[in-house]
Amino acid sequence: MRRWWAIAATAILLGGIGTAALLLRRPAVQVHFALTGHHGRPVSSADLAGGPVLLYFGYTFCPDVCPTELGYLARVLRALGPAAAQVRPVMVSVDPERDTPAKLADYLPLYHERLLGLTGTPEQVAELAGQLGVRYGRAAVATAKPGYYLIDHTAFTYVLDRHGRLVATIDSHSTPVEAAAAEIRKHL
Amino acid sequence: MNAMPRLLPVLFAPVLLSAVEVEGPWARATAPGAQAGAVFATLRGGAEDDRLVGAACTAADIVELHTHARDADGVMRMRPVAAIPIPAGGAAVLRPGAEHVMLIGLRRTLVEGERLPLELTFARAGRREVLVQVGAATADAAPAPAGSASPAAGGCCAPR
Repeated sequence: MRRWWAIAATAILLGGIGTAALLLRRPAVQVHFALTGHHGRPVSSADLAGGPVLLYFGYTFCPDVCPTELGYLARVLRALGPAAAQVRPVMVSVDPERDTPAKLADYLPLYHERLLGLTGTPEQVAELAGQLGVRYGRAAVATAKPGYYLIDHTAFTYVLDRHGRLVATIDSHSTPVEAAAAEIRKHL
Repeated sequence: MNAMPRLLPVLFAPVLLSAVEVEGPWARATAPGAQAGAVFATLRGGAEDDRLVGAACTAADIVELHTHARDADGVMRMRPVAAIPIPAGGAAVLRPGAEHVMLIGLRRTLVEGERLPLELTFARAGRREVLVQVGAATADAAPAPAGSASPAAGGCCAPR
């Protein structure tokens, strides 16, 4: 009997905390990671602190969505003008098994000269994706080319402030380039 | 005596109307070693419904027709489709984030400014060779057509 009371009290307490959390301003998520850059050297979240970071999750085998999103990112950076130099655009690979640093190094300069590519072990990438709510996975439907697979993935751009806190999520489908630039400018 | 020339447009009109027109086929430049590319275009329907049922390109191992769907969580899912319908008098718009011709296993890099030959197969209109204008890697729409040269194999389709 006493145990039921304990469970009920815990539930009420947790419910209360949950409600309070909804009413309070949600604290920004502090994002941490330790991955490998397209230059082959380690890159951690601390290395990128000091200016806003734009994190996009994609992969180099991606035929359409990633070029579309990286093109959007390039236009957002252009809209920022000289301030773009303070912003670090990053693509994190959701396909670390195929995306070696060398592959990222070949791929990214075509989209923006300052794009940093990050990859790592599948576990390292999954850990960072989990912090941001990024979802990805190998597509269930195969293409006709043996061994060639696609990855389904969310295609948002996450804005981290100079302290590495998640401050905005940009959906290119609903955010004009100028509006995205305006959001990033708040965190310069 | 001169009835034939006047009759010609009448005789050929149904043929012309039934043909699908491929407007402004384009693709993005790809990175060195890239494995995949995508081709976009506007397919204008003729007098009858038609379907794009296949494509071939010497620059890729395999060419498939694909589409995208975005689920409630924002996950983009790309899927092969057997055909892309082109309604009579309407159009199928192949564009980024939607239906497209996918080049899988690129045999070479697609370079901005080049024109890539691509064969499209329609259920009714048959095979059409088009020249795909390659634009910037970051392009989100068809590049301006380069020159006015028409393709050797006829039926291509610079934007009007």
